[in-house]
Amino acid sequence: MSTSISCVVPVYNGARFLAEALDSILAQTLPPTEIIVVDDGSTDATTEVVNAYARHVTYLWQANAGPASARNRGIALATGNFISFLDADDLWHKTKLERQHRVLTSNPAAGICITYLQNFWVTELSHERDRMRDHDFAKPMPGYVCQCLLARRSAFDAVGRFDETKRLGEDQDWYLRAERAGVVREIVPEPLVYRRIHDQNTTYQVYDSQKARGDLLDNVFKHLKHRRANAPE
Amino acid sequence: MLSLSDVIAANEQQVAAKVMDGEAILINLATGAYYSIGATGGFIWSLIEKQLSIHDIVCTLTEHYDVAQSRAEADMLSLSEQLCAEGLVTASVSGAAAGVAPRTAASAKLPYQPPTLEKYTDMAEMFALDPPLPGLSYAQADKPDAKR
Repeated sequence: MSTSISCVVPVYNGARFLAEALDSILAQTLPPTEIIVVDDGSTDATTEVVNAYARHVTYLWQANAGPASARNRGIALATGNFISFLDADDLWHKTKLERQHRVLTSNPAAGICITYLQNFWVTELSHERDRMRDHDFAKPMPGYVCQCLLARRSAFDAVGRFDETKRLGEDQDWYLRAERAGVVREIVPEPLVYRRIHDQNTTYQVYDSQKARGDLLDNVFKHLKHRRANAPE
Repeated sequence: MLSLSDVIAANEQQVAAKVMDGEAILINLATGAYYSIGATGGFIWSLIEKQLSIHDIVCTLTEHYDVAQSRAEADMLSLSEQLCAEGLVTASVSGAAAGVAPRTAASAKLPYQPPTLEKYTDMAEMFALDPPLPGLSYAQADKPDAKR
């Protein structure tokens, strides 16, 4: 089967960084065969930014429904036999897709491959970056988030879509469901995805939300039940 | 070393907790470890959330469960020490402002099993991606808007 990779880019008011994200996709040594930008009801200049890339991207707009919904919309449209994601404010290293594709091709049993992730801070938050210098959050870490994923389409067939009801941890939930479904996971232990930390990141805003915390607890409880059910006697 | 008069309270800054199917599930968001307090754990955690003294929790426990006061005291002191050590609760010297345990007379007492704290770290890598960052204030937000 020939390689075809879809890249889904969910964006909500992401005009400021979107061009950089799209450039990092177009600069891939193994470029995706299609880029699907799902505009999750932006009210800023996102459309104008996308217009400049009209030759390269498929654009669709939906009323604001959250990142999980936007990604699911993208998956529904994707035609590739591999699926990847990049958020509108993050960046890929130019070899990201090629490295992951190589790993998945050499291990046909593996359904998904993730890379490590490196956080970086916008200039306005350089004080934050300095303060966090010795924190694990400033070091490369395994990327159990969508932007680090390259998945065979069959993995989504087995695991299903992202849970749109979750306020937080919908990607964590997806990775846990993949594990429960027995999807084999490969890891490229190098930071090939750069996550931009800025004052609009959702995680910065939602930790006090009981709904968000409840979503994480539900993830844990399901995982724990599965773990117990599969524990050796 | 804790004493029965100490008030313990959930460390809400970095702990997410919920009682599910009678079992207390806790996540230390700062370390990525998660915990279960089984048996009477769910009942006890719901009391911890009321910011009671250990003594008040023990009294409520003995009203509802078939357990001797001395046994309940020993178990609760031990559990509280463990929860403190894991950063899941904070302990403070009892003050007059402490809440009052609900006194509902149980008609028949439930069989007692000591609460056991189980710790798991197999999801730590996942939680490391979005830790609560020290010194940062988190605003309330409940609408599905921005990305992460």
